[in-house]
Amino acid sequence: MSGRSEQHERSRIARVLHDDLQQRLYSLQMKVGMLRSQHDDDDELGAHLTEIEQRLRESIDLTRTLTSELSPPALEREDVGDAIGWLATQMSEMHALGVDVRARGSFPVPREDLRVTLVEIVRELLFNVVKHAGVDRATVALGRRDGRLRITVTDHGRGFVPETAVRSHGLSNAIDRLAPFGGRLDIVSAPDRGTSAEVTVPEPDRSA
Amino acid sequence: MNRSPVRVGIVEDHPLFRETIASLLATTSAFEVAFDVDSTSGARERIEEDQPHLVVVDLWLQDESGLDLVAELDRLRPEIRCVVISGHRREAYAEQALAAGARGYILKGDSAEFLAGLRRVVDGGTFVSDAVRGAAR
Repeated sequence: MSGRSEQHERSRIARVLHDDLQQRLYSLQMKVGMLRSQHDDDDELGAHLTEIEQRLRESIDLTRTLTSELSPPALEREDVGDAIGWLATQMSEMHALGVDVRARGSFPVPREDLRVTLVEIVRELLFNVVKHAGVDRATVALGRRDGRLRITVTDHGRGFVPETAVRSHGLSNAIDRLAPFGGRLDIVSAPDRGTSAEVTVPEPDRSA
Repeated sequence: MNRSPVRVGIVEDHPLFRETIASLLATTSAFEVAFDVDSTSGARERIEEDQPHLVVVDLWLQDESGLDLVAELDRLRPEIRCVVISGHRREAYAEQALAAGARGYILKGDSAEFLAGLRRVVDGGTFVSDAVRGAAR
């Protein structure tokens, strides 16, 4: 499946999860609540309903996770800054990672496949902060210099030796995915010195 | 509000969820369903016919924002109180809803909280679900 049709399918599935399955689960949760209030003198029934409510909440949380993994809605807009802002919120809500997004102006990336690639790589870089850096804050800065769009993910955590960690931190795949777009991933890091991971691509042609 | 049931209009595009809210309101004597529709255009037609006291609006309906209806009612029919329902927990959404003129922002799923929220709004207050992080009350 090509990149575009795969993303289209992911978006479709995310919509079904959010617009239909999640709403059905909310309905069931409310109906259980109604049963509870109608039978509040039945302790045994109450215990069963409590368990059902808990399972429904877990199911709803699972649909949220799946929806966000499949298709961030902000990805459908051209400005990659929108999607990264959304991603920052997700990282905060789901992984307790505070992400400061610094972007002045807009950063349109008309090619959807490039935009998806950039956001996925930023997501992976932020996951690396969660898994390896030992800190709960990171910064994502968007900018332009020398004809290239630059997205830099920085943390002040425990750092690593880039040459040895590219493979273990899942970064060689990121480098491969950026190459067709003329993109690069450059990492500056050292033990106990924090990490700065910069993704750059040629400034997108607005007619693309 | 007086003792006759509060007439509630429901604007929600998912049919099962819309039916669930209608059933929930039917279990109370305090509320009755004035209408239930799946779009803001349907709501506009029925508001004139059915004269609700309160309108419950989903934040997003298919391809349109429920907040457009909220803002319109706040401007043209301020006597009708609006409550926004949503699955989104971010306080920014609650703030937007209140800024548009809604008196409440209630998360989907908790039937007891939903009724408590409607009662607070009917009594003249505002209500935002507890699980909405840091939202102003």
